[in-house]
Amino acid sequence: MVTTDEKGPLTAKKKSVIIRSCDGDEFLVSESAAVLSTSLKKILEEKEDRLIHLSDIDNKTLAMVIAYLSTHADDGLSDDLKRSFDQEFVSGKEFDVLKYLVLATDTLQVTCLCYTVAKKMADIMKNKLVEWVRREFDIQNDYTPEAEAEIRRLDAWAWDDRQLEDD
Amino acid sequence: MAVNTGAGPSTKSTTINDLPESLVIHILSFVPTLEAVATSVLARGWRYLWLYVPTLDFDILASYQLSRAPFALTRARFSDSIARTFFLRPIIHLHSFRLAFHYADLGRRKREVRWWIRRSVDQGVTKIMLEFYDDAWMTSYRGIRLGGENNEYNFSLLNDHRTFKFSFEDIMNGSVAELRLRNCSLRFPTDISNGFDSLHTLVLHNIELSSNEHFNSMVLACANLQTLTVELIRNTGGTEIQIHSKSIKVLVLRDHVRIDFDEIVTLDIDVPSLGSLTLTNFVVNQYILVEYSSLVEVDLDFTNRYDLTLLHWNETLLSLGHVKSLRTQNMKNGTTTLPRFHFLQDLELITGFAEGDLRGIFEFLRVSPRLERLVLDYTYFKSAFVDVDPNDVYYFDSWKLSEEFKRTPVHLQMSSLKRVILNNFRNTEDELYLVELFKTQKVVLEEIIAFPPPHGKALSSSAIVLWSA
Repeated sequence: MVTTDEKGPLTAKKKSVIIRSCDGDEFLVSESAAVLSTSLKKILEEKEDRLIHLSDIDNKTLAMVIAYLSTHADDGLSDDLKRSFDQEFVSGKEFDVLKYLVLATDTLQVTCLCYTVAKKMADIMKNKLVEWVRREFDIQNDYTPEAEAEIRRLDAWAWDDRQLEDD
Repeated sequence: MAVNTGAGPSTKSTTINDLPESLVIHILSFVPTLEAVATSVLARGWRYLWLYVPTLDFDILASYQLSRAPFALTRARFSDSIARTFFLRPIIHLHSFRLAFHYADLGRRKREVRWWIRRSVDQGVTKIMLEFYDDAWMTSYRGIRLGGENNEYNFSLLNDHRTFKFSFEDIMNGSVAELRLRNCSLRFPTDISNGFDSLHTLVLHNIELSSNEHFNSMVLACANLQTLTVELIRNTGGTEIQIHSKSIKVLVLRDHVRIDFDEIVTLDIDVPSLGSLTLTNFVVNQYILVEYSSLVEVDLDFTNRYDLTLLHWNETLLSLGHVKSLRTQNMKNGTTTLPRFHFLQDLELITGFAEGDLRGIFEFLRVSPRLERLVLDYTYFKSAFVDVDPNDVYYFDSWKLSEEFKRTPVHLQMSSLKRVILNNFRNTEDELYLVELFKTQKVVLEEIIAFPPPHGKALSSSAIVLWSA
């Protein structure tokens, strides 16, 4: 167990927290960044503990979330810069990466990032053929062909005769 | 100490079905509603998910772009789909309802939009966004033909039939906290006095105001309204716009268009808890603005109509001596009297860098002893893209600083100034002269940063540090 012995008035300003991923790696995060996550904030309020173990977030995802939190906790950056950081943050990321990110932000209750990532995932889905979405998102189609045809018929009102993308 | 939701990464193949339903619903809330409905065919687990999505988003242009059908058919199907969605959706809380539509006040479709609005209010909607495309926009931007002999669209009809009249009655006693309306006109109930307590944010864009009297009473009646934005208002309904409210904290008024130039139009603002005021090219003949101690942030920009409003700009500025944050146009050649800005910490000036402009900047610095951050926005760069008359004195007067001006020693009062930011920085001699001037005066100055104009589609450019302590 790592504990902090910082008690002086000077060091108190820049308290930090250690967060351990499910892979066992530890990340040092400033408290001001950590409290942007509602879950971490609650933990820090309840206990003086400076080590938080996240048993369901892997290294790669945690590193990304922490990069996000640290950027947003930086007072020196303008809101415009933070917004463009957010755009950069989700652009070009693989769907799987986004999926773990959205899970992690949900667990950690980082509302803004959860919103940004979910929106990005929705943007990827837009205007795509059913087959494309199934393939890219790895969704197992468990309908029988008859059942699927029936649903297509029932929901035809929402379909129009769309020209969708399959690439 | 551990946080465990039990939904961690597993070794089996990853599918979106691994996500908890609540998250999939969250993702679907960013997908247009008709597409969300279509996800029911993906797999069994998706069959009824869309019904629980707390947002409804319908945009006729998005549907039309995906469709091979002619516009009139798309429109009819689109309307039916909205009605079906409302019928099928269980009565569970609706967060937002967005509709972007082409309205025509005709035949059996006459009341459909009002019906959708009421239905969303019945489902407890808290946010409504309505936008109406007009014919000219549809035709010019999308090449959509709306005319035709046997078509329900007929150009001979009065424009009035194409304007959706939003009835405030439809949201009365509901839980709508945020209402955004674009391109429509407003109808008010006969008794406005109550029923609008839920409304916190009202944003009106390109709205025809046919009765100022009712609008004024409406603003007064929204007892919990915090934010009011009125942009591009076509005023045909009277000469006095009154914004009297005890609750409004943020007020944004942009682009007021006067219909009748013979009349004297008055803007009367009486908002005692106002914290932030934006007044951009909102041109009226007379401004009544009481000085409020709560007002900390002001954006005052009349650069488009400078000639008309210089006097009003100055009058307004004189009553803002206590603000902490101000964005405004620079004055010309020190012709304006500035108040003493005792508390001003953050100033953004829309300015050029000619001699008159620099004198204006010096004067602003002189009257703002506590200024910590100064932003100089060289917006005239943008005018290089539009047709600016090269003889326009205001833009091009003494374009280059004279040697005589540069030789004259200047002592700037900037005892608290820490940061200078140059937006739309063009790296001209005149800008660099000012940078040099700041450097030599420094005092507590920490840094000077510049942002060149963004290129192409970029929204912002990266910063250049010109100097740092």
